[in-house]
Amino acid sequence: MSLPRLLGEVLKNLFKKPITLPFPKEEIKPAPGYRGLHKVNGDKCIGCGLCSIECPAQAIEMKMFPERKKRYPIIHYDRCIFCYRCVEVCPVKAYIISEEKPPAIRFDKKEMFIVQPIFTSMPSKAGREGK
Amino acid sequence: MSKQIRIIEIPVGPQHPAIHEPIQLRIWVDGEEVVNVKVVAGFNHRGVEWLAERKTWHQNVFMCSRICGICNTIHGTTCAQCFEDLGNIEVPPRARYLRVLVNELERIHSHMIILAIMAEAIGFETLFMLMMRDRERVMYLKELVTGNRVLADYVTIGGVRRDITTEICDKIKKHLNYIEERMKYYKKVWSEDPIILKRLVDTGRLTAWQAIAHCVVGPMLRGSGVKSDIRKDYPYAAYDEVPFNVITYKEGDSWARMMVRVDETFESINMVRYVIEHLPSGPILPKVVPKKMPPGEGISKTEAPRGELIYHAISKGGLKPYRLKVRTPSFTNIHNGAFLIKGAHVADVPVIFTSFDPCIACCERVKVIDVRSGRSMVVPLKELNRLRW
Repeated sequence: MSLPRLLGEVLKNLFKKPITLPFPKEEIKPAPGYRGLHKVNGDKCIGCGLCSIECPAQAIEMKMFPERKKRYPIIHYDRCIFCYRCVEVCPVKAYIISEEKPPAIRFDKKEMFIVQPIFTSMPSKAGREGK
Repeated sequence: MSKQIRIIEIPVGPQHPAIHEPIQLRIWVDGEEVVNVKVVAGFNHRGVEWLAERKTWHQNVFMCSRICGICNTIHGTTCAQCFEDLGNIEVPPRARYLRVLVNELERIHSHMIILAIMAEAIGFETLFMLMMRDRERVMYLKELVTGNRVLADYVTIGGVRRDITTEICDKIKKHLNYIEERMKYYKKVWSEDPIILKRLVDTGRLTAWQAIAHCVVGPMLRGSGVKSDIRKDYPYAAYDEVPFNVITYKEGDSWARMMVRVDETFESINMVRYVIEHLPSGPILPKVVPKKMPPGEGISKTEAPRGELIYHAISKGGLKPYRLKVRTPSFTNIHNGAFLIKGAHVADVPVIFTSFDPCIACCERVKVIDVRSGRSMVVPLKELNRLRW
């Protein structure tokens, strides 16, 4: 009877480093262009709500910001499927994309997964900017 | 004295019937021999077709990608092609080639995972670990091209969502050389190793006549010597321009089905190489992609890693489909191929079942059980809406 073919391969692998990673300490680096966490740039956003309408998972909520007198998208990461449809349809390219991996869900800290838009400027008293 | 016949019913699953997905095989055994088998599905029903009627055309492509995890790109491609057929949208040549590229990458990793699972089912765990290690490279390539290692979301109505660069092409070539070398080694293992041959050869033999009569599709059909491949018979995307061979094996047993998958991996590797070298230039999306579809019907057939996949959509105009019907290869293969388990030994049940390459998430459909009489039936969705709960 012939020897199992894999025997040589198995012996070779005995003296190699393990291919698996000790996960919480070490993580796999995602490939360039990975669809990671995304945020809204509040300065660019015009509040059209197209991302909220197009989202396949209903993860984007349009919320009124009274001090800015405008509606802005709020992303619920616990619902998000990271398809980047919102990034694609945005007419003013207001989404900031990153290669950061999405977090695992923790229900006791659900507020962590609701992401507000980022603003660099203070709300103007006149309300909507440019008007 | 007459021989006493004792038939025992054994439930295989739904926790772990050879593959790690929920389906139950109820087998009746007489000693070691299986005398009857019944497939009980429905543990993973999600109402996808119902949901599709409530989502827009563009959202449906994303949702249909999530019908199955392993073959998600082909589901997205078929869904998009179905809607393109409905709306008479023309796909640019570059996008058609890129669809072939990603679908073939998916076929490579899908075939590698079922080969690995088969190795695990027969107790050959070393081969499982080695194949899964090498499969990770294909997943990396998919992540590089599409942006996610499993759920690619690459295809959209009218084309694809991302373009490919020369750097990515170089990386794909480099990794494919490694994968091809490894697959050559695995082909030797699969065709020569005594453990594999003893467990797989002559188990679950399916003749060509039986395969056609029972409507099985994909590698199961080709493993029985029937030359049938949607990519050759009804070419879609750019398959009419990319050269490849249809692999067939005459034996028709579990081993032949697995060897079809091994050989198809080489064909897929060659196709990816061809696509990279002959990629036409141009846009990846048409200028205008409509959000509303005209009334009518659209149909699309593709060759998924598991066989023929059909989408049929009916539109009455507007933003949402009126009806979307999905017919997946696993549905026919599991239910129509289950008769092969009859007459086999109990130990061969996982082997035969795994050789179908079953994907349970694909095959869940509506089934109504009348609790009072215990009668189960399959009804169309239209009648289901009329039923009072």
